[in-house]
Amino acid sequence: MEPSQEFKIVTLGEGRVGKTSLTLKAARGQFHEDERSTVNANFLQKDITFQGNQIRLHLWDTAGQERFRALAPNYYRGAKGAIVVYDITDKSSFDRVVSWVKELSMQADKDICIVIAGNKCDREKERQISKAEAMEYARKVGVLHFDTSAKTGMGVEEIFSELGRLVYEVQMKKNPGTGERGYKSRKGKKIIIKKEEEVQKKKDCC
Amino acid sequence: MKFNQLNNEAESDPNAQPNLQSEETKVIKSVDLSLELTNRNSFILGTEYGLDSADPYMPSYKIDIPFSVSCSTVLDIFTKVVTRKRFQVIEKTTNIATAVHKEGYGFKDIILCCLPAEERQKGIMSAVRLSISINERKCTRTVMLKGIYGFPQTICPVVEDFKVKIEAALEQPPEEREIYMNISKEAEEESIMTCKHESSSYYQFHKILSSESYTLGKSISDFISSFTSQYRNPQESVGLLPQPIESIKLMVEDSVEALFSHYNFGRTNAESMMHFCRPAVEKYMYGKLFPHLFDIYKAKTSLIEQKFIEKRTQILEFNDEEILEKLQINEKYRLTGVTQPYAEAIEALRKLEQTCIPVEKLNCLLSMVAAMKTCVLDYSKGKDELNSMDDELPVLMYIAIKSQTQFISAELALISDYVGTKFENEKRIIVNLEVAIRYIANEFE
Repeated sequence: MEPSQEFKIVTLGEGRVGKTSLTLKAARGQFHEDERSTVNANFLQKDITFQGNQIRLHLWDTAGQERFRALAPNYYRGAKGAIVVYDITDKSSFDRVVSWVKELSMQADKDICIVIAGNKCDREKERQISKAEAMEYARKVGVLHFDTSAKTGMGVEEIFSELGRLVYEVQMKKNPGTGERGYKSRKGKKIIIKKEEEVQKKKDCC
Repeated sequence: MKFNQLNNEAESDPNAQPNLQSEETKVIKSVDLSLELTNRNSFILGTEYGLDSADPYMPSYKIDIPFSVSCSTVLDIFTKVVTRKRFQVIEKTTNIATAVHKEGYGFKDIILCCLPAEERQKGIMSAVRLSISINERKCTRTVMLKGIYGFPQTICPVVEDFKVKIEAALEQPPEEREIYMNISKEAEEESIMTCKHESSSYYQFHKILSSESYTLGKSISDFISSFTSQYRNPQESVGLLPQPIESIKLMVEDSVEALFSHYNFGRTNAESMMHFCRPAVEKYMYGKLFPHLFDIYKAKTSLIEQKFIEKRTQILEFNDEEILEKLQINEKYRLTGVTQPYAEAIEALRKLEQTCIPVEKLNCLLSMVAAMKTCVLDYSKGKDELNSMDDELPVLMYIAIKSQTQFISAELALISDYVGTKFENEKRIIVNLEVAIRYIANEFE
């Protein structure tokens, strides 16, 4: 089934919090649990269905190291959704979430949908950020928060489905008329090989 | 389909065959003779000044036919007809043919032998000439068969037979007649023979695109002229970006559509050739316009290019190991011990400069990324993969530096505009490389 809508989703967060793992898991973990990623690891996309609409999310992974911070706008430019990831076992990574959310609110598309992912939930014992604290922050800034684990797959499907739904709703509200391929599809024209009969019909019409 | 005239001067000639007298007749005042006649035949036939100098009272026939009926078909019909009437084809080119008929010798001919040589020839020969020209206004072929010499009663049956045969050919069903609207069958027929190979297909398309006798070729030629004139000043044209490349893309789109609608009629051999239609059109267009287009992008990216080259020169003073360390590449991906790490990827990126076709440039980038990742796989014997952007970005910087591509920012800007909103996945590679270069130029110390 061809997707009716396609959206760019960017994953942001400090280095080594599990952004790549999360996107890899979302894009292929469900059906290819043990499959190693391929050269197309950069070409990650996730299809979700919402209200009978097939939505394709193009997942853009980013470099999270502080030295690359200034380059981030190149990645979130044009994104309709963002997942800000932190590592629940690393307090500093959560502190960075605050600045990412602030930056996105100020510099990204004004209708960008943001969700926060508290990753590495499989290491609950090492948790440094309480779930309550994280939820409270998310509520304060008006975004959704999910506990995720790229390793076990916990919350991965939910976070992408929810973000897809949010983005879809926002975009539909913004552009109510765009039912078909509202965002950056290939728009590849299908070349129809005309048969003699059709050509003859056309000629006859004239 | 339109029959223009059947010019038969039999009305004024009592020797003419009566059946032709009933046909719609009209004297053709002028005939467009596109090819020069051979001196020898012209002299023999007394037509060294063209058909206009031929006997104006000879039967003639003129018809406009579509391009779908090729010159070779018309010439074949002509040959068959004249052969049947015991004429001999003495001259045949791609769009002109002459046939003569020698009368049997009689007592009259013996007397005629006393006449001068030219008169003597005229006395015993009848000749017809077929000429095929192109009517650009009507977009048709104009076929003209005219008796140029000899006895009208000998020529009339030829003209009449030719008329019947050409009419029959035109009434054949399309599958037999092989309709091709604006493209000559010659080009298509050649393609049937050669389109198995990509290069041959490119050549066939090139022939069409470069030919100003076709509407498409003419419009492309006009576009190229107007493009080079409109964007002759790269500095001033920077502000217009991406309009220049957008206009090329639009022209390519239109040309591809024109070729598909006029060229492809569901024939298997045409289908196989049409696979190369878009690449061929792009190759042609960008081949002609790339220098102008690229100058604009060079002007656009000159600042960052300069900064990048300065930094690159500084970095390249170090050896590979030192560069990998300075770029803080993860140790796993430094490929320690390898003579030239990521050599294949570097080589792939260098190829960017060797082509002027954006889609081929895009393929270079894809090859580069594939090579970069396989280098890691090869080194780690399949254990490690380069997936995370935190790891990939520094490696991309290394490759960009080592490739020493002359105008890498301009290349990327051009490819980026070419990609536009399409190729979402491929665009990521462009963004990653752009980011890598920007980092080296602006952030790297």
